[in-house]
Amino acid sequence: MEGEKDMEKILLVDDDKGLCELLEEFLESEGFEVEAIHDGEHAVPKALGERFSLVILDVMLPGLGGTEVLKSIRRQSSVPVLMLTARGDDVDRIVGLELGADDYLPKPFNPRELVARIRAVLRRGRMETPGETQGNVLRVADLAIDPAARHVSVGGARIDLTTVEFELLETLAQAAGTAFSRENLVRQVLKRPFSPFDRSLDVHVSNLRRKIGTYPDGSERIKTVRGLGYILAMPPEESRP
Amino acid sequence: MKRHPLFLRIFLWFLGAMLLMAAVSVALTVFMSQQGIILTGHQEVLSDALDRNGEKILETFETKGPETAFEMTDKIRRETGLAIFLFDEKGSPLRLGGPPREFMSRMGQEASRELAQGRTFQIRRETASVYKRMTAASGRNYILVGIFRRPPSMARVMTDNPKPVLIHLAGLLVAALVFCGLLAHHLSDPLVRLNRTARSVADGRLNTPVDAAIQKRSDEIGELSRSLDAMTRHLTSLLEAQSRLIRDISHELRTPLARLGVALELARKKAGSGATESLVRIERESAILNDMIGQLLDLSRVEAGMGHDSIEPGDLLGLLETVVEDANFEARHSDRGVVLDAPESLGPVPLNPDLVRRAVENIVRNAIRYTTEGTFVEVCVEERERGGRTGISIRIRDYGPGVPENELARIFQPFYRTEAARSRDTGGTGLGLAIAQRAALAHGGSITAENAPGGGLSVEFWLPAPGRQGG
Repeated sequence: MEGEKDMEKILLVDDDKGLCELLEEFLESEGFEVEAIHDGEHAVPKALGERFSLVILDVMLPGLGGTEVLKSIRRQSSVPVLMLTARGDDVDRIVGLELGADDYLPKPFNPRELVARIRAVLRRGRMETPGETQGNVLRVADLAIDPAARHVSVGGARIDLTTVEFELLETLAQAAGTAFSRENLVRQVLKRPFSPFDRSLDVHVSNLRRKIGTYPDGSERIKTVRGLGYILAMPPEESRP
Repeated sequence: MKRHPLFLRIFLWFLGAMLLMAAVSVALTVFMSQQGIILTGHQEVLSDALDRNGEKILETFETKGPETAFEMTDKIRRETGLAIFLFDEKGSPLRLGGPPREFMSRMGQEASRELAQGRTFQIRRETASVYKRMTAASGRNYILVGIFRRPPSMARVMTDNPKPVLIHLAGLLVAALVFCGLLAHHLSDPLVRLNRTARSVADGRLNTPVDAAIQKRSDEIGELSRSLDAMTRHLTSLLEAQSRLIRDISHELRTPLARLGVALELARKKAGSGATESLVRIERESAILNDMIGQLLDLSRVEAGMGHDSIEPGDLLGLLETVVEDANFEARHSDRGVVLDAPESLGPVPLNPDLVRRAVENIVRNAIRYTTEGTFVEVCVEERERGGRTGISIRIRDYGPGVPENELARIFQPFYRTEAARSRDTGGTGLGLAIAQRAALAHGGSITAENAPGGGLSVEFWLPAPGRQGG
């Protein structure tokens, strides 16, 4: 705790004041600095106005809902967002991820799990700093991934990806043509242990698929390997660059 | 599709009633003519009528003069159709004016000639004539002639020219058939449609509207349809209120539960090692509570979505593979496993992926809970017909203790647990199979359980998939 260079600052947006108080105490004991806000209207300027390492955002908020808040934040900032959802509310969950939440956690959650997720998201955020994987642009057919600049383009056209989507694509592209198990992808990309019946990886994959499109012949770039996981398929006809 | 006996019954009843009316009318006509209430061409009847009226006419003729008598004959002719003519005993007409004199003389001569030969009745094509000698009170003799214009008899017309009669009859019959048909349809068709609506409601599609056209009717059927509609709406609102209540309660319970989880963790940090065991226990119990609330929410969501959730062709096999993979991952921790036995490909199957995933996940996790350590839960997928419908069967079989036969049907009821489940504290919520059942129903499918030969429970989740080759 004392070893940390400077404390990670977290914005907690939840209308349950009791829960916020408890979480503040708990997260502070884990070495985070926490600021709590109880409604959506005030959350957006706060999240955009100050430098937070992470935003914890409840989907169910009075007034401006959680997904609306996320949308407003994403228009101007790429601050990592972890969404709290009611368990099984798939629509909210998927919408949340599509709008660019970095992860979600169903409520009620185990606080230790919350801390693990926060750390995972922050770890990803730190690796985002350019310069780590220097130089080489990864190419698979007309798909170009520049790890240094964190750019992705298909046929020269730039594509906007969330942090998770970028890392997912980068991981798959580093060994294009090789299948990755879902378990490994969760570990490597989401930076947390695989938990069965958790569909967030699959939602990220389907968002990514939609964004990068298919090969000219209509086949998926990212294929599902039954009983195993996912693979970034090589183009149908070998037309290597 | 069954025929509609009501339609047939009403139709036959009315047709019968119409035929009966026709028969009664014919019988009455025959009866009345026999009684002389109406005159036909029969000899005795005509002769009787002539006797009865003749005496009165003669009396009037002699006492009040010919004018009054002829007025009387005119009146009789108008009333009965019998024209009575009066002659003296030699056959000379006694009336001046009226029919031409020559015609009357010819009639008188003919009458006396016929009477001389002893004939009193003559029937011609269109008329029947009766001749009679009568003696008046004064002692003078007269000849009376009664002429009756015969009504066209059915038999005569038939032999003469049957076509118009047949056309007539056919027309009447067609009109009767059409009318009866329309009437029967008018009464039975709305009932058939109302029944269809009621059936649909009984099958759980509470949003089925009652035909607006029937509701507009002002008769008893219209009233019935409005009552049915009111009943359905009441039922819908009750069920909605119930599932909303469950949903709200569950949501509300979550708030304190979320706080409890964090407070528990704080307590763990602050408390000494002496409290650890109790805190672990509290954590486990609150996890069970949380699971139960989650399952309750799932259940109410599936029920609320019934008939609304979109069902589209999807990759069932891929979905099952992911579920089995995840379940196997989970089961490995307790030295159990899950294996999938499925064909190479299945093609698209109509489904709501979310519902099917939840259903199969719940059945499989239930199976993992009961299967003996070291065994594998088997998930077997195959095409199978049910009740003449093609579909996909997903059978989930464990190697556990099974379920007593008399409890098999009840394991799909919410919170139902077998004695064994209660005593073993398996950690289930008692809702998983209920959710699976609702999901099956939402697809128009079914779910059944049986004890597998060799021990263990086998649950079959069946989804209809129309348009497949059977077998």
